[in-house]
Amino acid sequence: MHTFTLPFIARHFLLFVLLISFAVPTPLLGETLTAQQVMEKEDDRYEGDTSIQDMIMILIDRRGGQRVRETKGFSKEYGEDTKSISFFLSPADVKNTAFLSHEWDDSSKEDDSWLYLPALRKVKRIASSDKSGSFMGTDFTYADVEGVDVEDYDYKFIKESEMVDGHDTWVIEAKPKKAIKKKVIKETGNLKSQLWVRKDIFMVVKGKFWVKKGKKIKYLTISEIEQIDGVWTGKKMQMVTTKKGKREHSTVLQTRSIQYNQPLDDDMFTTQRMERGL
Amino acid sequence: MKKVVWWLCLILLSSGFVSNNVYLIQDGWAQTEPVEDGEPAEEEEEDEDLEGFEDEDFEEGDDAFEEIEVKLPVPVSTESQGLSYGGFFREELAYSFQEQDPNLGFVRRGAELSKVRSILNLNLEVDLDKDWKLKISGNAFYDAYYSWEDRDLYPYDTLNVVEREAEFRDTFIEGPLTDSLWLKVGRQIIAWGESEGPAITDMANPRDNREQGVVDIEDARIPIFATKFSYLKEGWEFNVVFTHEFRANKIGVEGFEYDPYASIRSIFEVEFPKQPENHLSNTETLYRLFKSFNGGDISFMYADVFEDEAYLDFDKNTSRLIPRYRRIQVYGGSGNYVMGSWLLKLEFAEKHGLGFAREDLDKQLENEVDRPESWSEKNTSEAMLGFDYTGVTDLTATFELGIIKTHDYEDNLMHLELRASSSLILRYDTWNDTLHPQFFWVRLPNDNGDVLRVTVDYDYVDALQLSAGIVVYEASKADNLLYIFRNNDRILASLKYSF
Repeated sequence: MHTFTLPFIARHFLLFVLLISFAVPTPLLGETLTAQQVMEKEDDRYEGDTSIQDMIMILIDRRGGQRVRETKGFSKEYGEDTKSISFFLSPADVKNTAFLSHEWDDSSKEDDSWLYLPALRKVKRIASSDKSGSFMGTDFTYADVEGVDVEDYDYKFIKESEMVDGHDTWVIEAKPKKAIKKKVIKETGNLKSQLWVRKDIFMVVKGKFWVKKGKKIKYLTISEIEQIDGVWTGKKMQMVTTKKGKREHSTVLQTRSIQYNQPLDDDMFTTQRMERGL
Repeated sequence: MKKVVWWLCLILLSSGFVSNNVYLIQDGWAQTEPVEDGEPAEEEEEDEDLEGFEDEDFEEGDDAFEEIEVKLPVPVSTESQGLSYGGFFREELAYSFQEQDPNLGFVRRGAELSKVRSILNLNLEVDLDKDWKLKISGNAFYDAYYSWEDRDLYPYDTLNVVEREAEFRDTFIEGPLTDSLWLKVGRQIIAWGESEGPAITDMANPRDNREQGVVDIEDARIPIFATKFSYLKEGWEFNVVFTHEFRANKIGVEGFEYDPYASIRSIFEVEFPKQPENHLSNTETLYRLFKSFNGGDISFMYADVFEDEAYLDFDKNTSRLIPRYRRIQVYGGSGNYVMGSWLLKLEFAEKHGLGFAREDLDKQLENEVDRPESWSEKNTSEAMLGFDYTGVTDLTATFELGIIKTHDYEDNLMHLELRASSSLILRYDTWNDTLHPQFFWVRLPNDNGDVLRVTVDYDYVDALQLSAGIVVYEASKADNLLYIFRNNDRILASLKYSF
């Protein structure tokens, strides 16, 4: 199971981005590393056993109008499995909403997801097979948040080298494997994607996603990358949704603070905790 | 007219979903079509998939990868310092577009604006220390409709129910007693079970049924003063609840067009309900055991409570019917299981000691029976089987089938021995979660009528939500339970400002 530096939403979004490994070695590169090996290295990168993150989500419509959500997220690794929980702190209409997920490495086990809606005062289990819907109104989908299986894709290099913010990257195209193409596209909503992976730290810094519904293209940018507690962390992540070359909607996820390897009680990742809130 | 309204609802529904659902339905078909010889090569298929993306390149000067500069707000956690407050103001309007049946005793007769309700909610949350929290919440409303329309024709008690109200809602203190034991004391809502419709194991809180079919379940539960202990051990949660006040279901009252006793009042006088007193001996107790597994949740419960819905007891001395509440015992369980995009739901319960209305009271009185009885005590088995389907992007479809069997059935009971009801709710969230069309349909047990409601909520900004909709009641036979409400069709509109 791959690791990454942004816990909670960003982190689990990038389960999707970074789990992608290269199935076909590309001789054009002339490198000792195949694409597959690059991603395995990324996958092996240490990202902390736990994380606690304060995040601001800024949703921007086509007219520039902004909606702001403040969240606090907790995440804990259990071997190859991950449990995470997030609470919405503001605005008033979503305050105390909580989202809990248990992501299992074993592909035979369905991930578990629950949503606590304070208006209902009830935890509801979510059937989360279709992950192509918007997560809480953002430009990120549940697939982005929860991640998808790396084995579901074929990959190829688009460019051997491209500079992004002064750093050399590989540019990779990812397409669902032909045998399961329709299933994967239905679950994730994406026809294909293109990723920019920094060579020095094996980290995705840009992404482009072709969304089937509405024939939209989404652009991911990760910035403010720094090493925190020894873990490479992208503190700002943005996704821009476009259609026919026009910007439709954007989301910025800005990390206010993040701590790694703080002790977290297992009770934090239960449905009871969702009801109690922070 | 009724048919036109039903069609209007369907058109409203379809218009809310058309832009996306047609597309998605086509997707679904495409995925189920068998692959045949001679189909286009995969690469060609791929190209077809990506057709329409030709204009993908961003317009010159607007790089979608360019970093968006945003001004970050002051974080709530810093701003609140252990104390937060908020609430909402909501203005609800309803236009009743059907003329009322003059024989039913409802005050409203013609088509007119029938609700102008202003609702204020305030709440305060205080962190008493690191773990303990205090919450105080209250609601108040005033309906201006009654200040200008036939006010004198409504009984005082009716105005107290439908014109104005002020009450504490969630008002409690909560925190840990030990690492595993949690305490919550005060007015609270305890929502159990899987059903979004009938209360099968969800026995703690009464419901607001004053406007049948108009109120969503999230607004329908009425908080009660209770002490709740929650014990968590190795993934199992055990709840014990003691209630300290009795609150009944809120229902329509005399003169109000949702009065459930409207047809009875022409024969008998119905008194105001006699509620159990709030003393120690009337404490209700509820227990639940809950566990989440990979792929599903399961729970079992037992409750010794008052039924929140009244039965009508005939008083021979006054020849009046008195609504009373019976003590009942309920044991049951619920569970869910995920299968792909399907969440299968089950809930069941055995209920002992319910009071059911008899249909032979008038005959008993004609025959001058010594002790005429208007009700009989019975036990029931109740179950709900349903599902949530989330296989269409941004849409949640919920279907529930409810069944109630009355044991030791007698022919003099008003209802049938076996009763089945069903409901369908379609919720759609689009435009980045700012537009929320919803379709709600419920068929009452044994074809006793249908309620259809279509609403659209629009979040103009985070703080301001605008809503519009229509609710239609369908009951063609005079013995249908909903027949007296058949002319209560309404157009709904509301504005909610959260702060």
